[in-house]
Amino acid sequence: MKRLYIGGLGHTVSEKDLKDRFGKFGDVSDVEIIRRKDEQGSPLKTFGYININITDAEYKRCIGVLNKSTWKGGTLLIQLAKESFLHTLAEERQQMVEKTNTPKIIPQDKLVDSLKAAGVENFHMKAAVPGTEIPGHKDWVVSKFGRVLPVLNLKCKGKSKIFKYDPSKHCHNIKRLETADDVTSVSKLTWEMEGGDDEISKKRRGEFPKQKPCPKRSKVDLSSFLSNVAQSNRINAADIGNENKTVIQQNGLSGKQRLVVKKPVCVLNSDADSEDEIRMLVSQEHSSNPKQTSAEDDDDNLEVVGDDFVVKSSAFWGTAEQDGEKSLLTTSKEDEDYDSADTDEMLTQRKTQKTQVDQDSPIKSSKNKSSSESDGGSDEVSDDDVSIDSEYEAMMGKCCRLELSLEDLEQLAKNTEVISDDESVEEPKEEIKTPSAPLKRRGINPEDILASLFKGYTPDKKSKNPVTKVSLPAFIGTKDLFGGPEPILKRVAQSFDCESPKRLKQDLNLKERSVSEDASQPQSSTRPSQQKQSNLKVQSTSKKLENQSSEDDSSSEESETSEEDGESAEVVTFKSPATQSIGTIPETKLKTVSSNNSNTPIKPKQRKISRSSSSDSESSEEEDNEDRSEVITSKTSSATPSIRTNPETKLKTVNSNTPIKPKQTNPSRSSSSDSESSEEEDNEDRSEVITSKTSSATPSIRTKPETKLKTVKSNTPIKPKQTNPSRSSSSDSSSGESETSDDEEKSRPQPKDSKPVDSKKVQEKVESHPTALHSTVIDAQKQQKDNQKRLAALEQRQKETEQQKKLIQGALSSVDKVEANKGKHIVFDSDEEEDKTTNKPEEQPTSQKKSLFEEDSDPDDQQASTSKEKENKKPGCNKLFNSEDEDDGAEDDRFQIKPQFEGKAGQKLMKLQARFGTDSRFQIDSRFLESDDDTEEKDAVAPEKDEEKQLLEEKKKSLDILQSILNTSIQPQNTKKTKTFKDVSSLHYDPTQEEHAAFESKIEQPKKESKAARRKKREEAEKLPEVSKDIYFEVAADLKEVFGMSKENLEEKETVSWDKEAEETEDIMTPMEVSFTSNVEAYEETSGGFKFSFFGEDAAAGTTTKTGALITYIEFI
Amino acid sequence: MRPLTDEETKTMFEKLSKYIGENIKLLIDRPDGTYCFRLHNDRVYYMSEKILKLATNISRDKLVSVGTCFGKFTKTQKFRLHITALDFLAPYAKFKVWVKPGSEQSFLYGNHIMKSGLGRITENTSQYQGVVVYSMSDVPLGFGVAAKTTQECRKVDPMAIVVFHQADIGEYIRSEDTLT
Repeated sequence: MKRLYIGGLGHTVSEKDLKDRFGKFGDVSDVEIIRRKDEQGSPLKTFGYININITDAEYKRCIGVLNKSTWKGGTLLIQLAKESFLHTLAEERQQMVEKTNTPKIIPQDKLVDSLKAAGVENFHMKAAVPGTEIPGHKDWVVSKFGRVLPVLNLKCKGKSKIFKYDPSKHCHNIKRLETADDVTSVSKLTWEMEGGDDEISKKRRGEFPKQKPCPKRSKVDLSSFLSNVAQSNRINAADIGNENKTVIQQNGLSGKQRLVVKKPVCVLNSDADSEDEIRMLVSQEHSSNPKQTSAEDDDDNLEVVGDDFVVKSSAFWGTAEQDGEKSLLTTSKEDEDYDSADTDEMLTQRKTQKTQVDQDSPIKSSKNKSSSESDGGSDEVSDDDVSIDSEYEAMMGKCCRLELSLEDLEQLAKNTEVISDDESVEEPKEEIKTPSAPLKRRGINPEDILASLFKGYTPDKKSKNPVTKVSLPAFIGTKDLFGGPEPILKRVAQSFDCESPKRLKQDLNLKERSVSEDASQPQSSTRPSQQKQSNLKVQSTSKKLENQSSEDDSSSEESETSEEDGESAEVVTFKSPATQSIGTIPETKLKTVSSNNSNTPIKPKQRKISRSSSSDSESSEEEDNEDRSEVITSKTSSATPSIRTNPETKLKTVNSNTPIKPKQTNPSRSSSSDSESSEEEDNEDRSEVITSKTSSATPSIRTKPETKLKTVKSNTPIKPKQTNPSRSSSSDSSSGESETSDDEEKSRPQPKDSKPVDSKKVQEKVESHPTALHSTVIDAQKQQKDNQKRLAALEQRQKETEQQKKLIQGALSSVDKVEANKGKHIVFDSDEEEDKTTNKPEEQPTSQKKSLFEEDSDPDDQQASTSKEKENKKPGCNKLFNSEDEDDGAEDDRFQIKPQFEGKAGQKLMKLQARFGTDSRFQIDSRFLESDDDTEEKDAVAPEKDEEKQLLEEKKKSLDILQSILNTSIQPQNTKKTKTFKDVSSLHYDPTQEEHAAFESKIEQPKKESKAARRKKREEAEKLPEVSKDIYFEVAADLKEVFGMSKENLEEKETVSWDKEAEETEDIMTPMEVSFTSNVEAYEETSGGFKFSFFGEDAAAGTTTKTGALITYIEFI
Repeated sequence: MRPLTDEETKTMFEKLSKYIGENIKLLIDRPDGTYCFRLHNDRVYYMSEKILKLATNISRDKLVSVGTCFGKFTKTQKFRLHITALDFLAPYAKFKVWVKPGSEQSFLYGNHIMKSGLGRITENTSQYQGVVVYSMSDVPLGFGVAAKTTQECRKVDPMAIVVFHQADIGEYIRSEDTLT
């Protein structure tokens, strides 16, 4: 059976072909053809393996015939292949199975058998003189007690010399083994106790007086408690060991202990805190304790906890009282558990424990004394043994000792056997192998093995996949905060970190996200292949650009593939070379729209891709499909490919089609000033020209045009505010009012404030740059239009702001007037504000008599604007002073700053004066001012700062000292400051914060819809009764006919009666008629509320007929 | 009232570090404000900056106490912790000892803790390590010094002292006059 490798197969060769071809030379059993394909799916390489039952001669012939022969479009290459690993594995397993099936031969048993054959039974040869060799076993001799032992070759310690150890010649150290049955364990030995009838000797003998029930704990004071414990201890000791010696020992010890116990109690009261005293105490204890060799296992009650043991309640800090009560309640129970006065229980416990030990000990000792000797497992046993062995040890002290137990002998035997024959060596090894082989995988067939292998592998694969799911951690109470605030803070921070991407994800697939997040790595792999395809020279910078573009591509690809099907995939594949070409022609720096259009069948999808790529690479692109044209020309001299996540995330948000407001704060706002960029926007066409030239382009800048693109793509109505990338930051500020003021103050080279010509100039500046030139030429006209529109918008805005200003002014003045009319309630705000207001004139020392709050109407003046702002901040004092200002001239004078009150000294003087009221006699003038007032004032302010400084210094110093003490580096407080303390428990939902969007549940919208639907339904339901009324109408019509017939009859009869007996009817009927009509009218009134008017008429007609009928009826009677 | 000298700070920190280790840092460097140690009548007080400023209005001889007293310097310039510092030591304590309810009272009377009264102990407690003593219901009772390591505590007989008493909350009553 051979396995052949057949290389160079044609692509069309099938397994059957191979089988037929090689069937001539032998029996082909297994054919395997492997086809390597490249990315497109076209075969690169085909080769195969066959298992063939072939003789060597046939094999040679086969190679001679077929090797290097052409067959079906390929040159065959035939080689002997290694066995398929599955096959070998299968074979191995089969072998293993066979081995396990075959009976194992244990060398030990073999040896025992062979020894048995020689007359040795259980390593004993009866009636044999020590030193006789065992027949058939040359290195086994009979030694003392007829025991058969191997002759050993021992290596001397340290020397290379090996000496032969014949046990028969050193047989004195061999113990007798078989006497185990008549050996009584030490614990079972009975000892005669001498002594009288006194208590101590009784106790020594193990006879105790009956224990009195212990008094209740509440009565037990410390001393009695201690003595009780001591007593119990003593009793225990007596009980534990039946031997006299130990009892005496224990007694002596406990007596000493008592002393020790007493002493600390005395010392305690003497306030022994200092270390010296503690040391003394410890030393005392040491001196007393060393004798106490037999330590009992007292683990029963003691609990040892780790460092991270959390105190279960923050009991001390608030809930202490509750806990205290609880403990009070539970004490009665717990006390019983812990009460050391309850010695009875403890005693019994101990007794049982110790008796158990006693029961154990004889067994142990009978088993193997030597081991128990060496181990000394329980102290009790070791004590016993020591007493016994002491004699023996003294005897054996001199001779060379070699302790051998039966087990050791067996071990030895095994070893020797191993050395002697090699066959037996292998077998145990095989045995060792078997357990190491995977037991669960039983399969012997290659398929089974394969399956089992894959089984084992798949979970690994799964685990490799990045876990994208992010879940909020469970709420952690404040309790944990108490334990350690930092980890929780971390956790919180993490959770917040997790939330933000989560929010972004909402509309996207999780997969996409994860891939794009990890984009940097997998995409780096795609880079080389793409580079290969582009045969042009690529500069280092362009490389990077390409890389980025590829990244962008891939991200957009993913998003697309998820959204759309095969079509989009096609587009993508087409697109990637296109973007490359863009990247590879950095010299031209221009890619006109037409070229792009000719290259690509334009679809909205595709445009996205191209746009994202073009934002990075030097390219321009225009599309007229949806009245949207974009020209993006960006030249980045040194582009660093770092930070790709930022644009990617933005891309995501765009794809989600959410209305995006320019909240994406640009990380580098300062750099935006460097970039000369302008952008036109048309409401209808929405054409964009983003020309950004960055001398030192940081990735953040690159992101900017992208974000722009995104916003456009998202089809959100974009206001002219956002047109400039640099301005987008300004648009962040929400209120237009403050914004305008800001804008004015900011010095900006952008064409914002300027006239239409200005913006044009800027445009031309950009155009002057070779990169932008072509692009701008293309749609210069459009730009002009756009410019005009933009400027119009700007002007409008300016007007608006001015209007607002005026409005504010008017409002303020009107308010002031109202105040002036009232004029009586003057509200002083805090002193600080007063100070500030008084400080103001000092800033302008030139004007001697300047009223405090004279409004400067010039909007261009900066100071005026600032003062205005301040006014806005402090409406209270504003009102106050303005009112005075405009009220009347006399008061105006009063509030003008007098020369003596100018400056800091003046302020102080004014304060002093204010203190003494306005009475001129008590007025304090400048004489009262101390000469060095200014310095003092400074001092007054300075100390506070100094104090803070001092405190900080102190803190630093103390931290340093701490550092020196602990020998660990303690982080400076800077890190602390950056950490903001967040209380998880006080976390409230704030709708204005974006992070909190994660807390929102998205179920609301469908509800609203359902509400609307309900309303509709309700309305429909309300309409229904009206429809039913029509039906009533028809029925009424029928009635009418019926009643109409009766009416005619009635009239006829009436006329007859009228002619005959007019008087009678008049007499009888008049009262009756009246009553009837009234009734009918009432009926009509009640029914009229819910009937139509025409129906009502009918009813009225009906009633008239009725009355007629009634009248006739009466007449008949 | 004055800030501590370097030496004083060192001795005090050495003492404190026996109980709370590097957690002293948390006392000095608090996120909720500036806190500092001040020496007054040989006693060390721990207070916030705010209280410090307020305390400056009181003359030295009239000032009995301010903030939290952590302990006092002995005549030999050793630092002795007072029970009043327990509030700050307990939450940061590294090594803790829990006392059985039976011997709680004994400890609160100022006695050392015996093995028999030891309910629970933090592992790896070394000898002479400062420990904070808790009741089994986790109420801090005081602090002391471990007389034995945790391993020794297992073996030692019930009457052996395990923790040396240093301060307990019983002192609030017993030495009410001296505690400030």
